Amino acid sequence: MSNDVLTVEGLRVRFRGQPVDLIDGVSLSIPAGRTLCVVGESGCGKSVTSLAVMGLLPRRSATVTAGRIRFRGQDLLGLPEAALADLRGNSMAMIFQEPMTSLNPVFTVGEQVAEAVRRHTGCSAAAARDRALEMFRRVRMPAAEKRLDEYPHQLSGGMRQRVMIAMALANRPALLIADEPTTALDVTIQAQILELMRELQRDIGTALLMITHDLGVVAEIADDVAVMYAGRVVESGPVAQIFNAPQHPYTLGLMGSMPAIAGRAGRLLTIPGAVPVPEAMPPGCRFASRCPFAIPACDAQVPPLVRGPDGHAHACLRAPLEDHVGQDRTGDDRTGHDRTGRGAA
Amino acid sequence: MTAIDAPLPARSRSRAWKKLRANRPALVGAVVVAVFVLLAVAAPILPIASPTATDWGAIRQPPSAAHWLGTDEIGRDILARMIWGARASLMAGVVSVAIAVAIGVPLGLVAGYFGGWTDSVIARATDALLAMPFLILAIALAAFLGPSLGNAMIAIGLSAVPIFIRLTRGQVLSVRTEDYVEGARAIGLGHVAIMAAYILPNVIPPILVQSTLTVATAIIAEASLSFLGLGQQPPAPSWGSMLNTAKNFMSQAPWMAVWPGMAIFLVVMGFNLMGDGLRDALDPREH
Repeated sequence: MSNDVLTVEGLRVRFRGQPVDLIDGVSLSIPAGRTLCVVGESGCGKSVTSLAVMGLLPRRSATVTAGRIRFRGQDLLGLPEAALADLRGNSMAMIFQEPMTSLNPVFTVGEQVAEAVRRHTGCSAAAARDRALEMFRRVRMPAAEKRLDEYPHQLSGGMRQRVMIAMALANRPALLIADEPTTALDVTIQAQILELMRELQRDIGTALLMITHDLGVVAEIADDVAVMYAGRVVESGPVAQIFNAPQHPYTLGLMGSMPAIAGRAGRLLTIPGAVPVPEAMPPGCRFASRCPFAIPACDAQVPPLVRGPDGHAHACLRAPLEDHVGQDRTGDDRTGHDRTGRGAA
Repeated sequence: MTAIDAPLPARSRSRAWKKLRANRPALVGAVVVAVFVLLAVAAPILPIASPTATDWGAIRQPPSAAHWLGTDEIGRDILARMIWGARASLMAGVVSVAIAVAIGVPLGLVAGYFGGWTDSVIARATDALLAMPFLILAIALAAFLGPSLGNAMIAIGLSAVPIFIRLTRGQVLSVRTEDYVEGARAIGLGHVAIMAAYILPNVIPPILVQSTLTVATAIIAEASLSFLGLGQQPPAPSWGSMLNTAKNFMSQAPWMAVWPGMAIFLVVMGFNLMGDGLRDALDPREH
């Protein structure tokens, strides 16, 4: 696929002093103008993957041990820091989770947006300010001209996230990475911000890599989804496929633990157990110890990510899961898996 | 949601200013310092005697209408010497702190920002310097450089450098991990730009407080060096050297010691009150 803005192939990241790669062979790709949501619980490596793409991993503690990150045909991992810095905030931009702390408290928000513009265009201060004002209007900042000269502490969380979006999109990036941009916001503001991001993405034609743990956000905004678990992509594909026919038990579990407005009777499902710690990472499927479908073979080998003709890929030996619903597991003498099949309702 | 409901952290300058004005001790400190600064600045135009003019007919005179604060052992007017001495003391305080800030803050900034071996080298050297008592270090340096007011300032300034390295480094370590610093990297800013625009402005308040308090320390240090003959050289007036002379005449002419002692006390107290007031006004936890 040559129109992919970003391709990540077999990315592996290791943190110093840890026995295994925290990111273990992650592959992703995003075509121009599309939205890829990376979903997974805390600590599964979503954010580390996005920081690796931006070249913002803490150098002292994290190293990319293998893989390739290609951005518009350019290999980012081979780029010197200065060349990367020229890309950051220019053709690839990032929005962070915490709008309350992501802005410098000692400068006005207008100055900060203008700074991002000047850094990459070298235009005059006045032109940069005009551009900042234009962006403030585009992100529908109330009283845009007045806000330009206000300090971050004078703005609400929603307004600050609008500033962050204005700053990120000011240079019309080809790729926008948003790391849980709505998590810290009020629910009503969340919807507005998502709507705004979708609209601006359409206008500018940016590819959007959205990191989230909120399947509601995924349903709202995604074209494609990649589900990550413990540093691996366990399932990926077009959003409709993932929601309608999930093929990895972890995806099923995620959906089971999402409350629905329609209200299903009974308790929300939780996935038993916890993500394995790096010191005790199983050699096979990393989800096996929590998986109701697991068989001994799951512990023996890493299940490959198998891509179907419809673009739907999954890394589970037991797929298609429908075949096993209601069955007792065969040949499984282990204990602790008393929730067989419940996730597959 | 908590983010929305949380009170907005007010960092505005006007707020800090208001708190400073409401702080009575700080205000008193500021007034005391202001009076001394005014006197020192206006010294050349004030209708006072020359600080070095001797009068053999008026030796060790107690305070009188002619000599408000009395005269010293060779008949010089103590009021004039006090006012001119204030110039030396205040200059020494401000200049030496300026030296300390100019060297210490950039070093602390670099150490805290880059970390790694840069930090190790700077931080260990700082620890080593801090192991030596401030005044002893200043005396040693001043003795090494040779006695003069300028050298005393340099010696005091250099001795105070580690204080500012350590303070700045510690502040930078906490600011460095703020989201907006990562945000600055994410818009492609380089290290120098980030240090100048994102780190430094956010570590200034504690440096400002420390500077004010260190001026007080530096004034005492200058007086000490002058007392020992390593600072201001006679016949130029300095509170420290005036005390040194006065100690020989404690029983005959106690006023010779009282005035410089009181002046040092007042100025140092003034700066300390101001520093404490600034600390309270700039403390973000008090909002």
